[in-house]
Amino acid sequence: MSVAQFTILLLLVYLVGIKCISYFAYRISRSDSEDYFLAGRNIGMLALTGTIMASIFSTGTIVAAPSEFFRQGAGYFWFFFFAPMPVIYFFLATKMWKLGKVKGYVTPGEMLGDFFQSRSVTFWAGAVGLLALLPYSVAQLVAIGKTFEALTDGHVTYFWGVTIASASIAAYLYFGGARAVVWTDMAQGFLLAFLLILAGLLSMKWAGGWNAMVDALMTHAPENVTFEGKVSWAGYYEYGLLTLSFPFLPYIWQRMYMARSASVVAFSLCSYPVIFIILFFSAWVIGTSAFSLFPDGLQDADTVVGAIFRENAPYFGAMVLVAAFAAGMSTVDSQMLSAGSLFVRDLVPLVVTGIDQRRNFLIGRWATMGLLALLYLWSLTLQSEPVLALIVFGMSLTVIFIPCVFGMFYWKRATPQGAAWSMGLGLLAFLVKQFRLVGLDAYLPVMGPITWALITAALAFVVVSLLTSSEHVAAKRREYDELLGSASK
Amino acid sequence: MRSRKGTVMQYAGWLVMVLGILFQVLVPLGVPGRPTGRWLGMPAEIAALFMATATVVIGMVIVYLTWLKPYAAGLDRSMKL
Repeated sequence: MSVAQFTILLLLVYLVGIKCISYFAYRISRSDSEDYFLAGRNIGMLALTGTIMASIFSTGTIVAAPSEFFRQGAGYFWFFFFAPMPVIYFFLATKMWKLGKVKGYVTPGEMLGDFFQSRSVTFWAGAVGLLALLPYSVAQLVAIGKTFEALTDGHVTYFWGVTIASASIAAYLYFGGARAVVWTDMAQGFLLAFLLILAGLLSMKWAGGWNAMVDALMTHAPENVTFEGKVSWAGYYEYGLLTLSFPFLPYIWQRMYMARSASVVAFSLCSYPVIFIILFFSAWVIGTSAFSLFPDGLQDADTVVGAIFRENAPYFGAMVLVAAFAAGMSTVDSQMLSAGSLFVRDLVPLVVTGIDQRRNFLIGRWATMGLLALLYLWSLTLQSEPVLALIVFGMSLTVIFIPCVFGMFYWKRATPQGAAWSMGLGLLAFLVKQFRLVGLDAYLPVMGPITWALITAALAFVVVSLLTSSEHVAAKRREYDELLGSASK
Repeated sequence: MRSRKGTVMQYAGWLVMVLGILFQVLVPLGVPGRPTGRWLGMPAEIAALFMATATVVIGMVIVYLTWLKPYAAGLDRSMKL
């Protein structure tokens, strides 16, 4: 059996396995939107850690990171800024969990809208969340299609890769919802971590051991072991903000609602950076070992993993690449489910009122399917497009939430008007800078869109809140303080 | 009631975390200089960044153990979990 045939067989086994897991998830699911979008808020420690891991680490972790460490060396180490990402959630996540549990929130917009007693706030939270999720998801789908084509040596084209992946995601999302996503994520997350670590160890062994590997790096690419000329204050500043923005993506936020207990949330926050360092260290080892294994260089530096395993262990390499494909799928499914929930819980009730639980669930399920179909069609037009810009766009946009969320928990003068204007103007500033709208970006010089969005959102929040007042919010704050304060007693 | 030792450890954790983040920024920018050769068997500058990142993680674990974990347990108790 050729390696390409073995890879296709593995993919089939994987897709059938995913189908089986989603079937079991379907068997114990209830027909309500809380169960469909949040798996009944009953996710335990291992499952939550697994799903967060699988949702964050995508195809890029396995395929792109080793290649970038090989190509850029120290220049790619800005990525390690993402390790302390959960710090910002230390102040928020367990509070979000408790409020979600007590008040039944499913989306970020429901929490913000309820606290600020404002439908505008719910609208802006839903709209910003959707705008962030859709480009990010389509980029993942494009990466899956390209990986599919590459790992089957073109036997399965980009079109069929995207089609099979979309159909498979649709099948288990339709039947199993969040429970299927979490179960499949858990399996994929731990498999991904195991294979990446094993791949790192094997690569080091084939490179002649640790010392030989580092020697080859320092001899063949001395420029890859220094940061000199590779980083700047401005660049680091923007990357730093990106790590603040990422945890506020709706699908990450909603993971906090899904947990069985606050202790589960706290543990998963603490375990993330440890896992992050281990996985990216493995990726660095794989990328670095390529200097020993290919002393004359590689023709295509984008395929370091493929090249290493094609030479040394092609069948194991097929497993690693299938894990990369699975990692991409596990990110898209979480994002789609989240997008569906934002649509049905935040946006639809602004137009149609009085929807009961059962109809809400049905609309949510079909909205998720509709958005996935939209994404599928969009991805077919992006085959030859670079997707990094779409990913950065999606990851950056939720920086707009930061002033409102911190204001909600920690600033007594916060008002609904301040929150709504903060998100609206923050979004406007981001779009003006990002797309250079009608030349207005000239008024937002030097810094990037993420910085301007945060500055505008924070300023608007503070200024408008100081100019307005709200009795409803004061009453809500007392209620929330009572709910959260009881923990310290 | 929080113990004095727990509070001190918590602040120590935050301090370690902040120092780690600071070094994550300063090391690549070359502010503390650019070490050469090897540290811990790795190229020195890369090893320094790994150590900075590991410092952040150690700080996070201390804060988790001394503050976040007990706080989360309190929330769970309040929900009778």
